[in-house]
Amino acid sequence: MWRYILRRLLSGVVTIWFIATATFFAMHFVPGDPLSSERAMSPEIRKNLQIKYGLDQPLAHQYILFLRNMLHGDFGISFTQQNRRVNDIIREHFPVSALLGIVSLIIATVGAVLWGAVSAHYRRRWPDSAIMLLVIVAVSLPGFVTAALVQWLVLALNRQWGFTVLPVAGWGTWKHLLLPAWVLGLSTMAYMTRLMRASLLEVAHADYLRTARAKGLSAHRIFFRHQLRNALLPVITVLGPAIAAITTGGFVVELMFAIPGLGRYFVEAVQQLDYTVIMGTTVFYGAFLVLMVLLVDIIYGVVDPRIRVAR
Amino acid sequence: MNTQSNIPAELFEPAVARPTLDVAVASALPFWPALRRQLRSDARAIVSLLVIFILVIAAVAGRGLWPLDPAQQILGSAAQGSMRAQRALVVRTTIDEPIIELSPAALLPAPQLASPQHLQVLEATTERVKFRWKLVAGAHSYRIYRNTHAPRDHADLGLPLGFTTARGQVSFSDGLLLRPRDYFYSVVASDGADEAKTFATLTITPQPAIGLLEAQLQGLVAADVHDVTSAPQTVLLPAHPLGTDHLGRDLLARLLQGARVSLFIAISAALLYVALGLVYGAVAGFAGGAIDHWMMRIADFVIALPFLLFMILLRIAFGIAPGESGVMPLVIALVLLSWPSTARLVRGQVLQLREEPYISAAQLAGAGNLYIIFRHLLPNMLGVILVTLAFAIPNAIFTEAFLSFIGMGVTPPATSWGAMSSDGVQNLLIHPTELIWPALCISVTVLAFNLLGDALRDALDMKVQR
Amino acid sequence: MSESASSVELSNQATAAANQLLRIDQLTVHINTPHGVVQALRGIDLQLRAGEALALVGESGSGKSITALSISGLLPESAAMVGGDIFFAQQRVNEFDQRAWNKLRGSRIGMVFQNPMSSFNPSMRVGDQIAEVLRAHRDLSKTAARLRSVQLLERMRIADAAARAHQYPFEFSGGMLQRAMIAMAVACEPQLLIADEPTTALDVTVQAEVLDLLRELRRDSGMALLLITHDLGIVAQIADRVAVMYAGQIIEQGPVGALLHAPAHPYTAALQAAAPTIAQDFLQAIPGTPPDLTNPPSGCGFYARCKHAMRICMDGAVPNFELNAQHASRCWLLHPQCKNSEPSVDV
Repeated sequence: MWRYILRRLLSGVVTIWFIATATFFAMHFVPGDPLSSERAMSPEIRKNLQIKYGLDQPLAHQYILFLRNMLHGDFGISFTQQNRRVNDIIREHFPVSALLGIVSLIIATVGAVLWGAVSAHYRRRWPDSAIMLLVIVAVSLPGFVTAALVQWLVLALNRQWGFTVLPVAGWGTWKHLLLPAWVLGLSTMAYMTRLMRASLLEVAHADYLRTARAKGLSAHRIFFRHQLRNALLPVITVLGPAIAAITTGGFVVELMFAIPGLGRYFVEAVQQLDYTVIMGTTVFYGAFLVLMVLLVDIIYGVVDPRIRVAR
Repeated sequence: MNTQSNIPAELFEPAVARPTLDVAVASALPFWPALRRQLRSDARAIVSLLVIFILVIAAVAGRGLWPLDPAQQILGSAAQGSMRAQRALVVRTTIDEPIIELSPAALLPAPQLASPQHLQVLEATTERVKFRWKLVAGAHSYRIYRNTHAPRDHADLGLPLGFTTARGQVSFSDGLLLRPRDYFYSVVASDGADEAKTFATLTITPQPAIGLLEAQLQGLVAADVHDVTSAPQTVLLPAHPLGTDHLGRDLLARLLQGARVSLFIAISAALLYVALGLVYGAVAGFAGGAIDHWMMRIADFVIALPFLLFMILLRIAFGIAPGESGVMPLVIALVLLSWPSTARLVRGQVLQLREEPYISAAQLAGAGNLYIIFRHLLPNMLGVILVTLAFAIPNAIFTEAFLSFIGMGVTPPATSWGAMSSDGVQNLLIHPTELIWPALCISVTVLAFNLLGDALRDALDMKVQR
Repeated sequence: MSESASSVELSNQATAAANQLLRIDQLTVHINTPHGVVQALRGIDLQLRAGEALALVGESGSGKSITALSISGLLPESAAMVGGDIFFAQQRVNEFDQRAWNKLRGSRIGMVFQNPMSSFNPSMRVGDQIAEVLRAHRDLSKTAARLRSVQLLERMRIADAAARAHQYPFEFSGGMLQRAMIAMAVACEPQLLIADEPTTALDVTVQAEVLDLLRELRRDSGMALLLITHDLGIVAQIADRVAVMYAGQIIEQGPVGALLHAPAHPYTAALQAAAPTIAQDFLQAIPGTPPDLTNPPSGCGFYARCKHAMRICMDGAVPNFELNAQHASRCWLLHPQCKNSEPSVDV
């Protein structure tokens, strides 16, 4: 197990290096040098940046400098917000995105297990059909459409009832978290609900469930201990992609709900061509996702004895 | 028991005509007819194929189906709902000259302000409504209210539309988003501080009209026409079945143009990356050994890249600034980042199929690699590839919509459903149809491809089972 | 004196009734499939005394497993008991609810299935899966149940049982897992053990071990065994009586010796001829396939494949002819009017 984790960590480091390299070269091929964009920039900053990134140096040197800075966790200074370090931007805004992401991941997972179980239990009857219809509609709606529709609806409700049931934008209280977290988790929840249903139904035909019934166990124990537990395993494997989907989905949701998260900041940086912020955030997000996928793999290993013991 | 009863002896003679012992031979249909038969019995497949067919036809036909120019802005009819074609009077919009009526009586303060008298319509077209009234003693200015119902009392008037600015002005002209319907204009006198509680109401139904300049811009009236007052003429304004957007562009025309761009990006990107993944995966799986190992390591790295971040990064790298439209770079970026999942899938299939006895048999019989790939491997992977393709298209549509939404995708003058939705979100509160139509198009398209993918997968599973 | 005599008779009857562990009367089961309703069981009569070993033999699809699943109330959702009665220890189980079934299963009826690898929950330790039965039916603490499960594994001759109890099913070999499965089935000392093809998925050497174990358990505990198999070799080793199934009916039933040496039904004879033995150079396959049970023939199910088929075999149910008190078969060849009465001779 430990050897497995170590090996995965090593391959994770290589992957992060690859992401950083790809980011560096993608940015390097931007026509002209990144500093010569039309953006107005004070000459001091420009000079500082040129020295800092060694833009006058040969490419190999620049690359090594870039890697060294990344290795020290130094992502540089924002182009557009002078005097602001990218590190500070990440430190300030990422916790907001992380909180939103965690809450929506919890909503998505709990919802998916619940709806998947209901759907599998009423297989081919109306609750199943209704849930499956909602699921396919949910995966067919782009996040910004869901966000807009939800905001519109809640706004109408707030107006109708004469008080703020839920705020449709902003950040601060737990109430502000509910709508965006739900919107952000919706398509993930839909996708996982489908998987959960299929997985439960597949397990329902497994021989070991017949064994469990032949042992005279209670229905409760058969469902939780034998069916659900085994059906959850394949759902854990999609947590990695789910985290990636929620992370990038967060860009739009943060933008639309006016949430001061890193995603919104990243989109703004893209719109303003703030190269250091784009590079820093990309490498940061890349590393974050690699670590999350690794974490999910390890969790899967711990939960599934076939992997835990075999490795 | 009847065992002891007497039974005719001939019944114990050997049976003569016995049913033949036929062994049921499963009749295996070739791939396409079998698939077609499965799909034909699946309602999802039929509906989704129909929807996709209609969408593709609409996208290809485009202007041929609905000739309005998607880029033409008609500010006079911005953010309208569904509109039928209608005749409109061509009017020459002049600068409004307010009617001033100055009399000594107006300057004296009055103990109580009366309601305005003798309300009179001067102009009533959708370009401009103008009316006047008789001076009210003691009034400094007048507030004008516009309602679509007859106001019951002062509290029912709502917010004022405007007020007169010049001293002694006794006329008002209104050109704000007028439609050919009944309007109730109420005039209330004010002494500069307080507003009178009494008011007078006038009902006006504007006649459909179009400004001369606008009509000339749209090519409805010849450019050399200057006088429309002495020789009034009417023109036929085009219908807007889905209404117009916030810039007065026809929504249906824009949706068709958007369909073209969105579907082109989605289908071409999906086809290209599935093809690339197919070749890559087949080569890796067929080569095996170290080649396979390293090819798959590369694929693993590309998969590890955060997809949307690199979509943005690649677009910037291609030199496309935000606000610039680049359909081809978008397609190339999509292909560059999406192929590995298909490659992995195909490689897995190839590895599995390579172990099949008939492949070994073909190899023993001296068949070449190319022959084996085209004769045996590809036909057997056709099902998996079709399903991958069906699910690849909605993914590409989503990606395009997402990028266009944050301004990194398709931008004006070109448009796509994603870009239209982005505009629609800005105007959601005042004009929701502008979001609803493109969002509906995206959702229906994605839904159709998702359903088709589901139906295909089920049909192929069924085929495997038999 | 007459009073005491009658009371003796009564108690004899009572013991006879008490001795009878399982009685199945005219059991009829239908299964709904996309291709129509399959008449899986068409009126089965079966009795099993306490401590007796009965083998249920037949080809796949003949209804052996459906019979076993009916007895334990584990019929799939698509299947329904449409007629007949099942009595277990004088209790009619037809209308049992889930609670009543759960008291019976695992406790008084133990079950062993064909494929041990897939019959164990892959994400649960083997010891815990055995302890689970004990905890469900016996008032045992967690530690006591765990201890007992280790003892059970030891008794199944699993080496290093304490460590093995801590392992997961995938760490076991097939034969070892099947022995663990038996440990699980007999944990609560059931009166009846249903073993559905317990050795089919195992290697031949391992098969012998498992059979030895079953024999030994039966000798020590006196439980009844319902063994389902298609392998007549196993039947000879372990069973007291045999019931042969074909197309959803029991076509021959009798003591193992009599039935194997002098089969009364052509199908039994053919089955025996098809079984591999060392003495034989070649196997005699039975030509043809069993009838389609969505539309079963009105006469004998074996009619189309039978060498001795007569005109009478084509229509109408075949009566159950009793050769003696223990041996009976559904074949017209046994009718006194029939001249050819020795089917086993020329098969």
